[in-house]
Amino acid sequence: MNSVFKAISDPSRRQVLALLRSGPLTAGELADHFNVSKPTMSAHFSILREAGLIDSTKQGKTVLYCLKLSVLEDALLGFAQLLGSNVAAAAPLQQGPRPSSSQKKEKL
Amino acid sequence: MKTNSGRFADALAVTITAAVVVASSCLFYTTSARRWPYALALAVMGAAWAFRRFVHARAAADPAYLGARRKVTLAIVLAGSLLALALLVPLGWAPAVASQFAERGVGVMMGVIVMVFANVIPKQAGQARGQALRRVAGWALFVGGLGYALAWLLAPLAYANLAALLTLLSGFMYAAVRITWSVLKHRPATSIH
Repeated sequence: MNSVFKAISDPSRRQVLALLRSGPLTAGELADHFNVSKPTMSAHFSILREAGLIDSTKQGKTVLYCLKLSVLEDALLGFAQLLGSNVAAAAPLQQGPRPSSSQKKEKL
Repeated sequence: MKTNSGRFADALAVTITAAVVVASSCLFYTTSARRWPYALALAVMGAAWAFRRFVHARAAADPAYLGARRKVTLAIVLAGSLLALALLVPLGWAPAVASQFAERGVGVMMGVIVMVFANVIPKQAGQARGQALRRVAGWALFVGGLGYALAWLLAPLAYANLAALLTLLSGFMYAAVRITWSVLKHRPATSIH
């Protein structure tokens, strides 16, 4: 179960699982949705495979990934995506450059 | 490799199953009226062990099924425990007031067993195009099993059986209709030539 929590804790891996809902995709098709290197994507796929959330089959030179979620894992992923989107929505209010000490002095 | 807790769970499941089978068989042969609950108890334990055997065989090829095998073993222990408790009353080893809790407990555990089985349906290997259908079937049966368990837990005892069966049947029917619709929708068109 720890591996499942670890797998869905990362937003990129959650997005991989969301993309696979529509059907099996190749590694290249999945990687096109992310602005990261191939080794990074491979690491994500490996974590998801170890957690038993995706299955991979080789078709010639390509690797095809398909979703393999149980009902509870599916529900857990939904909660994680919901919480993740809530956190992302709240985050812009907290972001922004911190005022420097000179700016603080000018305000005073 | 089995852990100590895994071996303990297996031993407990075997012990409880043996107790339930012996008690149910004795009551089935000695009771003249209303024998179907004892036959149902035997059928439930048999089905649970058959499913565990199926998952065990899959686990040999795919280690991801090891988790499912542990869950099925736990479900057998819990269901068997409640069945054993329920059998104490007809055996005359428990006060009559416990019979209501035992009856509700059996119903709840039946629902939990359906939920455990339905949970692993989407994880079954198969054609990729069946992935969505397995997901629908898994969710429908999981919710049906949850409704079955909640009906036995919360509904008045006189109506609990009917409410539970209707809930579970609704889940089955929804899954059947969705799967049938999907199969008919994607059926290849017959050629006139």
